[in-house]
Amino acid sequence: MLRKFLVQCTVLALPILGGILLYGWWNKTYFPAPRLTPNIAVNEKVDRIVRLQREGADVLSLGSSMTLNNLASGPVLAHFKGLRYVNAGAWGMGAGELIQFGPMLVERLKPRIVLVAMSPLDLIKGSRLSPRDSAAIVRHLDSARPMMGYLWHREAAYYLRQMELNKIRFDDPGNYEYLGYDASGAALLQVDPERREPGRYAEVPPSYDKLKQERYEAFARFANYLAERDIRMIVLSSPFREGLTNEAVNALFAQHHARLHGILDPLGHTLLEAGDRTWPDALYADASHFNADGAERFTAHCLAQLRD
Amino acid sequence: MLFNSIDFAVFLPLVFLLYWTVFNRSLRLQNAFLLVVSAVFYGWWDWRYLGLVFISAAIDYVVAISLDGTSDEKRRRWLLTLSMVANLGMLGFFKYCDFFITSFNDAFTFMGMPIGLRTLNIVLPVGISFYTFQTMSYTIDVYRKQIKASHDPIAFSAYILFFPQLVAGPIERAGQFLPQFHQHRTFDLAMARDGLRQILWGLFKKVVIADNCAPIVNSIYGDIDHASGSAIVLATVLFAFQVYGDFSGYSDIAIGSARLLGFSLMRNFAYPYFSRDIAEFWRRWHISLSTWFRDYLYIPLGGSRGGKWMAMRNSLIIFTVSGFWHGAAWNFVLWGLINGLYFIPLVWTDKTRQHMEIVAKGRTFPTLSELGRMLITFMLVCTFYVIFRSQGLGGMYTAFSGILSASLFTIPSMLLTKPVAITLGASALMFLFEWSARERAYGLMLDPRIPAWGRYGIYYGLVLIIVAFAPMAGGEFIYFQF
Repeated sequence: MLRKFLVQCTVLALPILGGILLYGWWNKTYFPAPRLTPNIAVNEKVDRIVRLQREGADVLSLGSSMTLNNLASGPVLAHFKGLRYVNAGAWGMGAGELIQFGPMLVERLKPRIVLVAMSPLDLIKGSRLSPRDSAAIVRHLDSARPMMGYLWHREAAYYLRQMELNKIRFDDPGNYEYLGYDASGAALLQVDPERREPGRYAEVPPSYDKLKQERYEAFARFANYLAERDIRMIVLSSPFREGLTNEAVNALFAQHHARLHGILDPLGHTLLEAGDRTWPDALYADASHFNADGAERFTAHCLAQLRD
Repeated sequence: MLFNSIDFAVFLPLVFLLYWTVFNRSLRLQNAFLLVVSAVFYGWWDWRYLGLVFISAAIDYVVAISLDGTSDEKRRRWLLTLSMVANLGMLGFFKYCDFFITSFNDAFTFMGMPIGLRTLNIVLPVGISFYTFQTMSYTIDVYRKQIKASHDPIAFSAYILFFPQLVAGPIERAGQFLPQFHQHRTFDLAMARDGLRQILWGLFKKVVIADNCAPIVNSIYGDIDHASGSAIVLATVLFAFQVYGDFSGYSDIAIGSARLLGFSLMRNFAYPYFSRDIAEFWRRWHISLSTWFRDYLYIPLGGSRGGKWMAMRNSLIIFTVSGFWHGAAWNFVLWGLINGLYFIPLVWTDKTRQHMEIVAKGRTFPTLSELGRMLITFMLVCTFYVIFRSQGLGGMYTAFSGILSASLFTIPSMLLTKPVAITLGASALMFLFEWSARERAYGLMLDPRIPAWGRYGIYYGLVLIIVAFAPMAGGEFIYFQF
């Protein structure tokens, strides 16, 4: 009777398991990275580095969506000719989180230069990594078998649902969650005017007093961390679109840049500003994220200021 | 380990296979294996708290044997007191300590004499409210000489730790359940098939209903200050579906898993939302707890033997204690108290037992009167849920203020969204199944007249719905926190 039951169970389960496996195989290019943290972008980026970019990087870019979306790889590769480059930007890893996320990658990829694209918004919000998240990232980065990540993070429903969402995330640059990385790891947006989210596009830049002190302090700790290791940090200050720029925004940037210079200059790091020209609205996907063309121009414009 | 996790999906078949193929040679082996896998199951969550379960089991094992071995009433009472103090002491410390400290602080601060006692931030061990009640009932039954003490520590420990019902019940009675550990189990095909079916039904209720309701309910109750009255009503109705899907789903998986291993657990839910009054609702909701309170609190307090006044007083006491059992917060106490107040008129008018049979028995549809009674009872239950779900007394006041405002007559913006449509559609499906199966043990116990292809079509359909609509973050079971 037991044998009969087991045979029946197996026969009945086969179409279900087969169906799920077939669906997974059919959509394998969209299969998500192991769920190391609740932040999908971090998971995808860490997994990508483990699989494709583990050998190290001479130039490593870190930061939030400003780094992911606004730092175009072409101008970086053109400027740092012959150097290995990895873009490790991920949503939520702003100024306050760099000291958490950055060292994990810096210690493994051993860069000589760290690029950070940053907006004042990075001084307001971010998604902190819990100790458990950090431990999961480290374990994955050090894992000889990245597939083991799925064994540590066994959440079937998550993978099924994310696989569906990844069809948009991986293929559609007109989606704000776009994660279709180029060879270096950047994901440049291309949100056409008719697909813009009005709320995001019209988001008013904050005033300086809204920028958080503790996030500046965390950023300063990261700057110190890099300086102690003789790693040069180059910060690219990302501007808001022209239509939102006014006297108040200029004042915000003036104060913000003064604060950043205060942190970076004594340590030998560099701040590259982009406020010497205007940034037309047409170059943007929303208030602060560039579309691909804007990202290329912004990156090239900033890096052109580097003399060495 | 959660029932709705991949871990359990691997664990249960593995246990099943080993149990029936390797460890079925003797009763002792079967029990020892169950004990080990139950410890693994519980330790998967946090092995440090495993010691507590064993301490609770050891105390009651020794106390019960001592109770059996003496006829000295004074000594027997002392032994019973020892067990009660140990079990309730553990429960009190882990579950209520911080609550009392906070309440003392609040009370003294209110009187202008802040004392600033520090809370201990104690983590509540999963299932402590359930297994302490189960061990206590065993000792009380031995004390009452209703059952004999077990002299087999392995069988007794396996009975306390039995993994399908360890963390959230049903709270089994030793008289019904313990003898099953003293009998060698043999594989029963019909029982195993039935168990599997009940697991599927439980998973559907948990994963599709409860887990999809949760984010909607959380988003509205999490921002209750800005929610309209109609949105709060919607969230409360969805919470009613959530809590039912969650807890009855858990019970179905527990009962089904036990059946796979050759055990019969007591029924914990009997279609409570088809009740025609509050008394019937409480006879059909969390039956193992309601009957526990009846047998070990209501009846010892005098039950209804002292007339209506005593029956009303005792009803009020058990409902209040039941509220406190659910959570260490004043809104749970108030929830229990109000349940008691709803119940009292039925005691006064001798109508607590007017609906003993399931509604519309032998008929397809209820009468209009029955339908009206069911709807009114459901609405009353939903008012309890506002208290149950709110964050503290302040949150409760805000929720009721919102419901009683003009915004009650607006259409909640969420109503026409996809998640709400999914949850309402799935809930309708659940109630349709449960209505058609209401004279049987659980919703997926299908009418035997349905042909095999129809039954398998339904099973595959449910699997498909689970796969398609399981939300990304499968939540823990609500009753784990109790």
